[in-house]
Order: sequence, then C-alpha cells, then structure tokens
Amino acid sequence: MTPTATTPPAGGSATHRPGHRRPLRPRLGSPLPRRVSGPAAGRAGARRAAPRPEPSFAARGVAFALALPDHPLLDRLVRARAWIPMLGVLLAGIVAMQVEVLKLGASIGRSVQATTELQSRNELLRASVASLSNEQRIESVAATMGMVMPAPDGVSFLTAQRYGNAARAAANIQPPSPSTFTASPVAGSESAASNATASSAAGAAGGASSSTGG
Amino acid sequence: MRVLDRRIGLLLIVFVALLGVGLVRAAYLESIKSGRLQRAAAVQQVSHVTVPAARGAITDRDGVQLALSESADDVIADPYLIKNPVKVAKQLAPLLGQPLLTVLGGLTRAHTGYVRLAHLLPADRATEIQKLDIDGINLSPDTTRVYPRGSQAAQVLGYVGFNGQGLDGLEYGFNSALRGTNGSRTVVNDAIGQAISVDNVRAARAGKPLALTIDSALQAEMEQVLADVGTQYSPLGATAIAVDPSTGAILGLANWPPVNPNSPFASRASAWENQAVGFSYEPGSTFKAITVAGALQDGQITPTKEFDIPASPPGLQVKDRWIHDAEPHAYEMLTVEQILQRSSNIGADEIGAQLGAKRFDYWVHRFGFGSPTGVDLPGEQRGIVLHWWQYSGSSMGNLPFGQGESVTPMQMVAAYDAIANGGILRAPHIVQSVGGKPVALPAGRRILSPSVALELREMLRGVFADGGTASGAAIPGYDLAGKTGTANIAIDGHYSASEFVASFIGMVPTVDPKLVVAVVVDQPQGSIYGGSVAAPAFQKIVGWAVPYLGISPCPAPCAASVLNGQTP
Repeated sequence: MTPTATTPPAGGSATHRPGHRRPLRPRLGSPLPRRVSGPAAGRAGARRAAPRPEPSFAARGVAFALALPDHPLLDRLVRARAWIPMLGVLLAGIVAMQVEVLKLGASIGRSVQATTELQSRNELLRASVASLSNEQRIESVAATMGMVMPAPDGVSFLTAQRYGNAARAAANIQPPSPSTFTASPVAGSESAASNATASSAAGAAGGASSSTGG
Repeated sequence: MRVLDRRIGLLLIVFVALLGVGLVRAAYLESIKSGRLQRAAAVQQVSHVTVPAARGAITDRDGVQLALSESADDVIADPYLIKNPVKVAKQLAPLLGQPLLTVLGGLTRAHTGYVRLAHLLPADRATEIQKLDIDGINLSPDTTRVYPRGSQAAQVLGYVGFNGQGLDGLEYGFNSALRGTNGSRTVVNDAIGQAISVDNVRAARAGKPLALTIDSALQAEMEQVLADVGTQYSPLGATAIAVDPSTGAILGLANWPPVNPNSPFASRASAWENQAVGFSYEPGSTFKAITVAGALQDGQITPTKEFDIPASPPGLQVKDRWIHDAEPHAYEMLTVEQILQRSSNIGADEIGAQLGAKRFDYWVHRFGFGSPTGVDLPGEQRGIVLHWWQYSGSSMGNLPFGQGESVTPMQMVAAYDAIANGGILRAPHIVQSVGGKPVALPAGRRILSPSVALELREMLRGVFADGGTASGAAIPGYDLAGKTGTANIAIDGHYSASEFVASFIGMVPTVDPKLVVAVVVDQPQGSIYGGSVAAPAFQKIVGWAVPYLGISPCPAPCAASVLNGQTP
C-alpha cells in the first residue's frame, strides 16, 4: 500500500522513511511562501501536474526484468518438482546428441575410407580398360579369330549422295552379336572377316564417306 | 528421525569424500600428467594424414588413357608393437611379394619404431593388408604413375620419379600442370581405431589432365612397324612421325628401341631419348626438296628446266671436292623433276649453284632449320646450320643435297608440312588440351606460294614412279609424294663409308595432303638406303593409316586419271 503524499509536519523530520517524501529544504535567503487557502482546482492550470508519458517498450522490458526475481511464477517454478525430470530429460538429450555427433563422425570416417577405396578401384578399372583396349592386343586376338587387316586398296570409298547412302548406312548399323565373336573361325571366314575389318576401319573414318569391303 | 538424519549425514560424507577423491584425481591428471596425456592422445587418437593429389591423366585424342595415377600405399611397420613377428611375416610376405625372411627381418629390426616394408604397394594389395588389422602395421597413402599401354609412346610421355616429379618427356615438360597439390586431413580415432572426426585441413587439388593429338591406334601401328625395322636391320635407333599437315597436329610419334615407363630404370638412359626432337643428323637427299623449293620460289628454275649432269664418276668438281651420284651414270640431261626422282646429288648442286650461297642460306633458315620448331616436347635440339658467311669454298658442293647441315626429324617434318599444306610453316604440336582447355593452334607463316608448293609436290610424286628411288613403296590406288634420304654419318671429320642414316618423308594424297609421315633409321645394318629401309616402313604406316583415317585414295583432281587407267 503506497502511502499518500501528505504535507510534512511543520517541524519536519530528520529521518527519512521509505515511502515518505523527503521534506523540501527551505531556500536560503527567501522566506517560505505563505500558504493560501482555497480550492485546488481554482489554481492556475500551469500549477497542475502534467500527465505522465507512456514508458517505452525497452523501459518496460527493463522494468519487467528487474521485477522478475520477485515474480510469483518463478517462485512457484523453483519450488516445484517438475524441473527435476525436465533437467534429466535435457541432460539425456545432450548426451544423446553427443553420441549422435560421434556416430556421425564415425560414419564420415567410414564414408571417407569407402570413397578412397572406390576411387582406387576406379583407377584400377580405368587402367584395365586402357590396357584391354590396346589395339595391338585386339589385333592379335582378331588374328586368332581369322581376321586380317584389309589392304589399302581393299577399301573403297563412296561419295555420300543426298539420297540413298545415308539410309543404307543407317540400315546397316546393328548391335554387335556376341555369337559373331564366340563362333570359331572356319574355312572361308577370312573374306567375311576382312569385310568386317574393312567396315570397322571405314566406320572409324566416319564423316560423309561410307565403305564396302574389298 | 534422528537416526535417519545421522544415516543421511553419513551418506553425504561418503559422497563428499568420493567426490573429493575424484576432484583430486582430476586435478592430478589435468595438471601434473596433462602434458604426457596430451602427447599420448595426439599420437594415439589424432592423426594428420596427407591426402595425395592425383596426377593428371594423359590421354590420346580420343580419351584413351596413356598415363594415369593409381592409389598406392607405403607399408610401415612399428616393430615395438608387433607381438608375433613370425605370424605377421607369414601373413604379409605374399601380399608384399617379398620373401618371408626379408619381411621378418623388417618386423624384428631392433631399436626402431619405423620400418618401411614396401613402397607404393598397389591399392588392392594394400587394402588386403589393411583388412588384416595387425597392430603395428600402418599404411601411408600415396599415388603411383601407371602406363597401361606399356611401352606405347613411352619416349613421348616420359616417366615420373619416386617423389612424383616428372623426369622425362611430357611428364617433365608439363609437370607443373599435371602435378596437383596434396591435401591435408586431421582424423581423430576412437579407442578401437575408428575415425570419429574427419577434418579436411586442406583439400587435395588434382592435377590437370593432358589430352594429346596422338591417335593411339596409329601410334601402335607405327611402333609395330618400327619394331619390324629394328628386327630386320638392327639399327642404333629409329623414329617415325605422322602429322596432319593442315594443323601441324602430331598423330603418331614412335621411337625404337622401346622402353617401359612402368619400370623406367630398367632401360639404358639413351633409349629414353625422343629421337624425333633429340636426334640431330645430316638429312641427305630429303633436303633436296628444300633446295628445289627455294629455287622454284625465287623463279630460278621450273619443273621442266633441264640441267647438264656430267658422268659420275668422276662427277662434278666443286673446289677441292668431287661430287658424284649414288648410282654411276654417263652424261645426261635431267629436268628438275627427274633430279628429284632419281635423287641426283650433282643436279641438286647445280640448282644450288643457280640459287647462290646467300639465297640458299636464306631458304634454309626460312624453312626453320637451325632453330627449334617450337613443338611442345621437351629436349628439342636446334640442329647445326651454318650461315653463308661461314661457308667454306666447297660448302655449296654438299649443302644443297643435304650434307653439311644437321637437322632433327621434327624440323624435316615441319618443312615437309609446309610443302604439304600449301606453303605455311607451322610448329608441330602434340598437346591438344590442358585441363580440358584447348591449346591454341600455333601461328604459321607463309614461306612458299601455294602454286610452288603444289609444283613441288607433283615433282615429289615421281619418286614413287618407275625409276624413282621409292618406286617399291607405292601404295596401289593412292597418290603419294615423298623423298628418300641416305646420308653418310660424319665420324672424326670424315664421312663414314659404312654408317648411314636412312630416311623417308612423304605425304598422301599429293593434291591435298592429309597426312605427312617421316621415318628416320639411324645406322641400319644390312641395307643402308632410304628407299629400301625407310620407304617400306613409310609404306606400311601409310597403308594402314589411309583407310583408318578415312583418307580417300584419290581426291577429285586426280579421279579422272584413275578412271582412265592412268597412274595418278
């Protein structure tokens, strides 16, 4: 309960009590103004106390923060027992999070190792592809299958015409048949083999030319 | 109630005492033993791993891998941690490919915690060792250079040393582009050695790949042909170059004897020389085309101009020297075309005399002799070419037919490229792109007019005709032009009568050449002539290449003559 402002006793008091206004010290050299009786409302408007401005948001926030220690809600929260399991859950969460971080780290480690191994395998496979596609190796394998390189004059070139050649070339493009390569070379296959080689050689030429076996 | 309070108080005292003990222990570990424990943790748990950067691959023009990097590991043993060396040695020896005793010796070496059991062990075998999970056996990652095609283009590619630096060939010349930057990684391991934290301190930056203009199939064929030459003539060395004259792109560059870049130190050092750029020789008759080109361009001669060729022997006297032709003959009149066809030294000298020393010297240098061509291969020689004021009295007696000047096969190819492409001299090049970025085509400069270049090519066509020095090297249906060369080797100031360099440079087809091929054989045994040693090799290479490259036997201008049954 806030005490109301009252006029101090004439003699004043030397001790300051909380909630009480400190008595005004009389100005030196000037007598105290004489008290004039009459209704307060009859005084001039300038003497009336101006309405207080609304405090700003920050000021209100500061005021709230200062009043927080005395807030009854906090009091109730501190005295309550619900925070014990809550803290337990939070601590368990932190531990679980740490464990997850460690598991994630281990997983990253395994991934890095797996990446390195895959890269190594990839490099090995690249090297294998390069060595297996060696033309000299393929030539020797082809030779065992009865294939021969055509003589230079065994390959003839056609000038691509507007109509006809392109369609013929497109029609001749077929996926390779595995049976072609697994079949053992027999007599008379040499010409077919040379035809095939000629076609493949000319196929490498690409462009506007097509070829026929010689 | 009081009893209960006393018990709780006792429990509290126990807890406080235990807590106190824990605190004292923690303080002891944190303060007194802190340094030692930190060091132990750093050694046992934290490892700083170097992430090796992959060296850029080298591919041919179609992306075929000619050189690439593979993961490899150094196998390191810590003998202090090996509990059962005999058992470990038995496990490791077959994987390391080493005798059991050698491995055991390493595992039991005294007073050391670091023994390198193997250097750059292939990744597949290193992975198997890792799976054994042996305490005291560690792997140190690295990369090794692999050349999957073995000796193919070995002198062009070069090789890489143990420290990852290119030591020869393109590996050396483009080392800064091919070499990447190693990365660094900090790994924290748990008690059982599993990584629980991986931190990339610095990412590894791979080297840039190099794409070459070489066609690996043509390259293989050229090497096979040179191997046949090597078997048949046992020369000291041989080289062959195939170039697209319109761009100067080198399609194939072979050297003999072969070397294996996968074990570079197994071959003698001289075998690693890329003879195409490192071999200086006197070109012999292949140089006559240069003499004729200069005289044609200067308007001193025409293809049909005739020269008096004195009987040989005795031949033509130039100051104190007698110049004679390879084949004895009586006095005759030869046109310029016939001089080239029969490779007359006397005729070349007479054309040179008509040109004069100053102009001859001008044309020699104009064709780029005496300077490196600028090809992007390391170790290019410039040759030895005198200036006219350095000539002796008899210099013009041998220079016009290719004696007295020293050139490289690449210089000769560049000169014949100019003849083939209509007169533009351009540096040959072998690198198509670096890091996927195309290399700019070398700028060329015109040295001959297109008409003179064509006239010269048509005269060089006669070399394959009946009576020409390479008539046996003709390819039926194809219109070839070229020149043979047989040059004595100068030994101790005198030309040897038994040691020669046989060479042949030609192009196909004559009218609009798509391919220039040179073959140079150093000191062949059994036969010495360019027409019999080098020209057949040229024939084999071109005979294989023309259908493969899709070169039509006879372009439009000569088609009519073929249809009429005439030799083009």
